[in-house]
Amino acid sequence: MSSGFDEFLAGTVSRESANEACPCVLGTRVRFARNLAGTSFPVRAGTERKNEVRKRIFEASKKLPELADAFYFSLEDLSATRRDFLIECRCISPELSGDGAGVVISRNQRIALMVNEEDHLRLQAFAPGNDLGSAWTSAREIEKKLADSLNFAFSEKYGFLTACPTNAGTGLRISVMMHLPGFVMDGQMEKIVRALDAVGLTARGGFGEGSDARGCVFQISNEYTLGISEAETLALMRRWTCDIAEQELAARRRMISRERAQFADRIARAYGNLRYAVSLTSAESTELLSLLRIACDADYFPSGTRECIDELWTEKDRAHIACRAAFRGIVCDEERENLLRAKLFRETLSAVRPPVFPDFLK
Amino acid sequence: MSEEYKCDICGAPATVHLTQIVDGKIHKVHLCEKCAAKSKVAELPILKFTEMLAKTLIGGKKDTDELASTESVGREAGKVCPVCGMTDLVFGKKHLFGCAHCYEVFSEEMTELLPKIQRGRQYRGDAGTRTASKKSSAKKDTSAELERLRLRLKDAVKNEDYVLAAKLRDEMHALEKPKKNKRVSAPKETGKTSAKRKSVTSRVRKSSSKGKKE
Ligand SMILES: [Zn+2]
Ligand SMILES: [Zn+2]
Repeated sequence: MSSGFDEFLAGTVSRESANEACPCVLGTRVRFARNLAGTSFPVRAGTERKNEVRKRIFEASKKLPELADAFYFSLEDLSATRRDFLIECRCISPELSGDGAGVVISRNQRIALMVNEEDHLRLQAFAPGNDLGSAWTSAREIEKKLADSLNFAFSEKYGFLTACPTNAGTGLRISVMMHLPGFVMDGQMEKIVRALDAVGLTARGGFGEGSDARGCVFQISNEYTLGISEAETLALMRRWTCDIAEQELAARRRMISRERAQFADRIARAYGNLRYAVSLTSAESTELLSLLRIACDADYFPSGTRECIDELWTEKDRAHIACRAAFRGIVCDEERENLLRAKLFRETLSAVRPPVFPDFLK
Repeated sequence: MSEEYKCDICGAPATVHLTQIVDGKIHKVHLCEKCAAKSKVAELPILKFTEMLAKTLIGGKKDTDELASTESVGREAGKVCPVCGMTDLVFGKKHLFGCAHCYEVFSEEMTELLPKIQRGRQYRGDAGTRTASKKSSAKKDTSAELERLRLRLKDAVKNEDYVLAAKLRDEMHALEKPKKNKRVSAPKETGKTSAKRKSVTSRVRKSSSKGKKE
């Protein structure tokens, strides 16, 4: 058991990278919403009661071998920047804050339990790429073990009882983080969103509700939790995310063959800017990085480059820059943040050779 | 002496007082120095600013008790959960239950809300296997059920009802991997137009996470 944020920070330096099989997918999350029976939900609970709930959930999870050596953080002990760091890692949602809120993060960062967000417990398991199966299995495992020592609020009719009725039932939300620049450039994203809606899925920005889709990253998840079983939810997500990935790749191929030279020009400029810039904002680097990721999938870069780009994807975020700098004793204002970000890109991309294109004059 | 104003955003003593006129209506805005600086009052377009304020005011920053009392101004609460004190007024606005017992207290509201936000009214997850009550009698013969679904799918495709077809296909997928699935019945809400459902859902969602992001 540990609560040292610095230790956690050091452990986040080398992350697992996405698998090769699914170029459009950044990562997968399986989440269960649960509440303890016999105590008010966070929205109607005071600090004292929330603290008690947090204590109970922390104690229950310390009994699990998977989480015995995990990091246990109380949100009121974390600075705003450190909290943002956890949001950027997707360990916590932007909504998790305030007295009594907490988070348990496993050493490998595959499991994160949010305590006293909208519900007492939001149990999340993550997997790189589109590995729904492994995220599902580990979330399920942890949930079952926790249910042995925690009595979850449950009714025959509504299933697991949650603060918001949109989560009641299975409390299961599966989210797949998808990189969909092909649809966006093709002007098709709206159509996709409507199609998803028709089959019971929703698309949101990369950081969940109300967030924007920076760098063409969308979070696709199941909409319903009541009147649908876990197996159906899994099947639904599996099938549609594969369909979307296929369609997205087709859209990219169409775009690239339609405007080969222009596309190559954008890639080359994106590489040049990121490789040599002295100051980079978060927004600019996101846009450019998105282009480099497509270029990887179109084989303009040597294999292995996408892993490097995916690491930059999280490392370039504001709080990541600030926390890494603070770790080395550097205080970070906005100007310095942009300088440090550019340095990060210069150094990382110096190991990536420039993209190679065919001769368009021929 | 003028009365003491509190900052509309954080509740600290206000030192900046503004009067804005939006659509002929007068809005008074009181801010502490910090919040005034943060929101760069002068640069903000009026509507956006008041919008942001409204969000912040309704958002979860306030004490829960204070929330309940301020929101019941104007109309008496009809129902109050005896366990957690949630009222139907607050529930109607935020669509958040305060405790497990609220599900009984606001069952009417829930019945009305469910078709707009969920696929069905009845829990169909697999937790039954570990709770005391077993629903094993509901288990159906898988191959017969698959055949039934296959016929319905054929019909749906013939009628070009692709939404229904997609749902049926998912059910068949789920049946083919039966380890976690106990009971499969036809989806009940196929009659509803999805466009309508979407608009209500997003409203519910929004109101449940209002202002927290600010
Ligand atoms: Zn203030
Ligand atoms: Zn209640």
